[in-house]
Amino acid sequence: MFCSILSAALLGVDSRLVEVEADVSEGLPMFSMVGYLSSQVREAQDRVRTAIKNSGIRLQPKRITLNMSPADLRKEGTSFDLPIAIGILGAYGHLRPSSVENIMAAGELSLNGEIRPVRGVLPMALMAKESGCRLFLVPRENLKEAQAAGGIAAYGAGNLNEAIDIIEGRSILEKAQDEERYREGGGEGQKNDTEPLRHEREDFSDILGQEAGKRAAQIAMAGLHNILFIGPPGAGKSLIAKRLPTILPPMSEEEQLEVSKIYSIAGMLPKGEPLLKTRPFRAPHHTVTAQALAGGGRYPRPGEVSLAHRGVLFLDELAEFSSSTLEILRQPLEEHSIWIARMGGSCMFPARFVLAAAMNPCKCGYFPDLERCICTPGQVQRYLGRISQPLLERFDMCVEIPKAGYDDMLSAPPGEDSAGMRAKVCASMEIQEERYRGSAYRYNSDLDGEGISRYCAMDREAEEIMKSAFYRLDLSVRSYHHVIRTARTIADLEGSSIIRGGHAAEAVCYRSADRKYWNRGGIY
Amino acid sequence: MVSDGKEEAWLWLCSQQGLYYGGIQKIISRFGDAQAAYSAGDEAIRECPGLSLKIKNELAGRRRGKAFLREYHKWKKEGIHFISAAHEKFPERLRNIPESPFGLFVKGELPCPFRPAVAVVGGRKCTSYGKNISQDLGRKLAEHGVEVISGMAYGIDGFAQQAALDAGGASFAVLGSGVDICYPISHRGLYGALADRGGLISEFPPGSPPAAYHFPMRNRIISGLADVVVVIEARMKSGSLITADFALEQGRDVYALPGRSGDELSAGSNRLIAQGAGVLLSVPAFLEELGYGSADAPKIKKCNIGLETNEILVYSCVDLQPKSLQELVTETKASAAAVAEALIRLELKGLIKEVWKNYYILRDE
Repeated sequence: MFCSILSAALLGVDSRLVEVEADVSEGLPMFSMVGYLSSQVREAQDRVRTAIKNSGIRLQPKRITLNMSPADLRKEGTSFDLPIAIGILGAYGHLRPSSVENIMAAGELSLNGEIRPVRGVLPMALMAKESGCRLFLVPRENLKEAQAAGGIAAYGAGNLNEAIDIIEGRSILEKAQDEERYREGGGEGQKNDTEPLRHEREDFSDILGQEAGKRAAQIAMAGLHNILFIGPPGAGKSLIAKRLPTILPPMSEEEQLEVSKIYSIAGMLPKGEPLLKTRPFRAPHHTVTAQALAGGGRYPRPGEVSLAHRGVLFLDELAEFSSSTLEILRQPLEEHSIWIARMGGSCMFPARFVLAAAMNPCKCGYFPDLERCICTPGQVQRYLGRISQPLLERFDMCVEIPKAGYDDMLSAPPGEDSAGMRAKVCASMEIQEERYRGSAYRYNSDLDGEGISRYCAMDREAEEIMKSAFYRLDLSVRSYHHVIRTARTIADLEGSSIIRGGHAAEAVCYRSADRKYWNRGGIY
Repeated sequence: MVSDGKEEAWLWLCSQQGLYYGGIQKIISRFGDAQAAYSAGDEAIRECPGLSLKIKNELAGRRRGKAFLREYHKWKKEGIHFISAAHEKFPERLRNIPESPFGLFVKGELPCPFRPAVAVVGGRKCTSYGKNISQDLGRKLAEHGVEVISGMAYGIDGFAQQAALDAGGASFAVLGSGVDICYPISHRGLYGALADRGGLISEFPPGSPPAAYHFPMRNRIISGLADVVVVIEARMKSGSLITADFALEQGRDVYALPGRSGDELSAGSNRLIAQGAGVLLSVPAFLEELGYGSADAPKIKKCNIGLETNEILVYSCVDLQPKSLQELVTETKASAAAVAEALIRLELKGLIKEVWKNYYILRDE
């Protein structure tokens, strides 16, 4: 008898529908599986057979043939165990043919028949919703994740027998109680609502002094500008960077779903938290490989740039990263997504993040404090030279974070806290949303030359300042654009519709370091 | 310039890699002069005491078939020529110094014997104060027709020479490597300009690497070529102090730029002053003292007219020492935004200067 059931294969951040077809016929007892399967999927036959046996179901020795279509799509992972088991049971006649119709399942089986959680349930649930499945069966641990997609009847099963009951419709009425039970048992879902979120324990008011750095951070977040912090060790560059997500507005539902999808595929969704509510903050160590940063593997998985989607990617010790790793960032910074082509197929991961980076000004870290810096001019230049010009140009803003003085530590008034800063950032983002409605841009940092001439009106004084800065400070055209974009954000923070002189002047102060300036080695 | 047998003999000795002043001295004391050594037999050369066998073999080998002359013709195509101490055009100033070099390799020209020359030397690492003074000095010296001698090193040396060339003057660099090698490599532009509008001079044959022990030796030529030596921002252990020592030994005047007390970068030059060196009070005063020009009335340019309150507040806190944006925020107690804005307005008005990312100093012109 023939039976087919739906499942899904992950492809980048999306999934594709896979039909699992099982046929049981008379003949020599054997189990053959076809359909471009990886060895993980091929191993399913042993798990499935044993799990069925240990669930108390006896299968007659017959010839079992299993096909997964489309046959040209490589299937990987262990999420096909459950659909294969259901397909076989259906083909043996243990399930009513009508009950298996139009349902989707995903889950890994253990030998005793228990169903184990798998990664990527969220995008699968979205797929199930899209293709109009009547039921989506997932491991119990993944139920919340599946429900987060909304609009799909998702059921969680703890073991194979429960799964059969659900399919046969025997326990559907109990579903509500079942969920209740799970929630009480797990309890984690609720705990998270009351406990402060990860970022919120960190606050900008923890940082004493460093007003200039904090101000720059606020501007950067308000327009989603990439920012580079330069300063000696221990000055507080990382402290500031870690607090950047705390002043970004909360994610919209759409954004939460987008980000959670990526984490679901990476298998990194926290237990009991089906949707990520806080903006991601990723700080890969400087020994990170290009693959880990970009994403990859034979079957592409999201890398750090995608895990930082809608959040902040922080690269501490920028100069210590290998240059080939850093060059990877160019495409995602430009296009807000990254294409990964591998043997298992090519796919696109979203990567819209704010890049924040911190670096020492030289090897010993104390330049331009000539009393303490022990580097030769050549060493300073070599150190700075590790950052390629094209990458430097991706930073709209750059600010020096000097070592805090004793006065700063003791007598500085407690600075603004994250909540206050976030309120201003949110307000300026609303202004941007309003202004760019219906255009190709979304934030000030997205503006290109054309956008600048359209949206960045300046008053006379600002124009004069920009003109004189262009000549006197020898700005390149690109850094001129950076400055205008930053000035636009400063104006938005103050609720001004045109860029005034003060906004332009302040933006010039945070301009990014360009090569001319870099090579001159500053003080020398 | 290698026209006769005498020059040829000196070229043969001076173009030997690894043979320095002391080695040549030993050969001369053995044979009497270069020509005698040149015409001596291979055995006689090998018997010369105090030299390594390798060098003696090479000396004998390079003489055979005049191999060293072929080498020299290649150098000549690159604009490098040789002049021995015996040659009439050899700089007079150098003749009378202790351990006067036996020969020089020159790319470009030698300093003009009829024009005054001042050596400006100093640390590779320097503050913007030292940088400004050395540039100002280089420029003013050039404007008064004084030639600037230095070592083309990073920092003070390079700034003074570049400024002199930019002002249309002549400048000469004495190198610690062969004159065909540009060291530091980032001074390519300066190297080319020096070859065009001045000269590159070395006692080491072309192809010699910039070895650390070459530099103290070449310092005696820097001071020897100059009438006056000015030391700017030398540390306690600095090559510039070696130059100053040579200068005193050679009877040249030594001036030093005073630095702040306790400033490590000026510790050496301050010590020179304590020991009795001339004080570089200001560039015009220095020029007048040497009789090169008259002191201009010091220009006072500090006008606060047209500055806004915030700008005056920030301007009053900016110093000759670099101060960071954050320091200024702390000192003025104004908001970061206001200070940033005021700094840029001041910078665009030419009153202050950003010397390094978000570090500012007063601009003095």
